[in-house]
Amino acid sequence: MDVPASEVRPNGIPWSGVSQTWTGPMSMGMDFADLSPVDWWSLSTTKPNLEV
Amino acid sequence: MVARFGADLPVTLNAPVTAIDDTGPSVRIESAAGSISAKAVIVTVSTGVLAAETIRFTPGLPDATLGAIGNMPMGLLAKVPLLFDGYHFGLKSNEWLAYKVPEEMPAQACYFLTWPFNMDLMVGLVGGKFGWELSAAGPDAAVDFALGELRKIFGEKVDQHFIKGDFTNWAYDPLVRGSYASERPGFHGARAAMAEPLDGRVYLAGEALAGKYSVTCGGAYMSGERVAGDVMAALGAG
Ligand SMILES: Cc1cc2nc3c(=O)[nH]c(=O)nc-3n(C[C@H](O)[C@H](O)[C@H](O)COP(=O)(O)OP(=O)(O)OC[C@H]3O[C@@H](n4cnc5c(N)ncnc54)[C@H](O)[C@@H]3O)c2cc1C
Repeated sequence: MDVPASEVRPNGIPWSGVSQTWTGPMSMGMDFADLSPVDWWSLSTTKPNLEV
Repeated sequence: MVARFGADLPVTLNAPVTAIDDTGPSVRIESAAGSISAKAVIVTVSTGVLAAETIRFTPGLPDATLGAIGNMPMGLLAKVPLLFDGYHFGLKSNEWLAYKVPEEMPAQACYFLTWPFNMDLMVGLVGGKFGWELSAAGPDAAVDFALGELRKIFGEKVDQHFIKGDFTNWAYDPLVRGSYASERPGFHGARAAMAEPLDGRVYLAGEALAGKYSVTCGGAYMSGERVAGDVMAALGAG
């Protein structure tokens, strides 16, 4: 089910705003409303890259 | 690194391509620096540039490719580098400075990479819709915002030690138009669809087509290398 990340985010978890900001705009350049969790997940093996 | 990679290749910079014609005996490429003919062409511009149609393809790109490009819009992650006088606020080099934001999304936030390689730079990052908004507002607004976020954490020391700041204009640079591409929710498979070989002598490559390595420099390189191999095979030069 490839829906926007904003529709499947857990609510009410402390600091969830930070993790959403980190994963969406600060990582993929996309807000959660525009982010495909499936696309994001399929890229997740690339994490060793150092952000500079 | 890029210059070194291309050291033994004839590279022409500052020559934006405006048209690629694959209907003649060779591929004809028109650019600001004149026209050239080639046996094949690899196009590595972003999906943002392709979607803006500033390069005219003849014949046009297939509908399936155009559809895939439309379903992979550019995200935006832009940098606000801030130069300080050597005072490092007690922060180590090459770490992330993030802070709590309101739960209401999207948040207006600027997270920082601290003193990369021990330079006196705090590199702020803004992204998503807020990043596009700040880009439209311009560098002064972006630097003000980033300094304001730091002031909330470090107070007046920020102004005591700040020297100058800048902002990358990748959002509205016509040769970039964002940072990197993402599949729209509901359109998984767009990367693979866009990576399908085209008929003829025009090839697409770049970060968006690098499968699980997309959104990275390494992925862009691997995609280009793979497609260069395809071209050599097609030309019988492999
Ligand atoms: C803030 C930020 C941080 C990043 N951090 C990292 C990181 O830590 N690690 C990592 O691996 N990746 C990182 N990336 C991603 C990485 O920069 C990109 O994935 C990579 O640059 C994409 O390479 P590319 O060759 O596909 O496209 P591009 O780098 O966009 O290159 C395309 C080129 O085409 C040129 N062009 C455009 N239009 C024309 C035209 N009409 N004619 C001729 N030339 C044209 C452009 O000028 C450009 O040089 C980051 C990106 C951003 C924005």
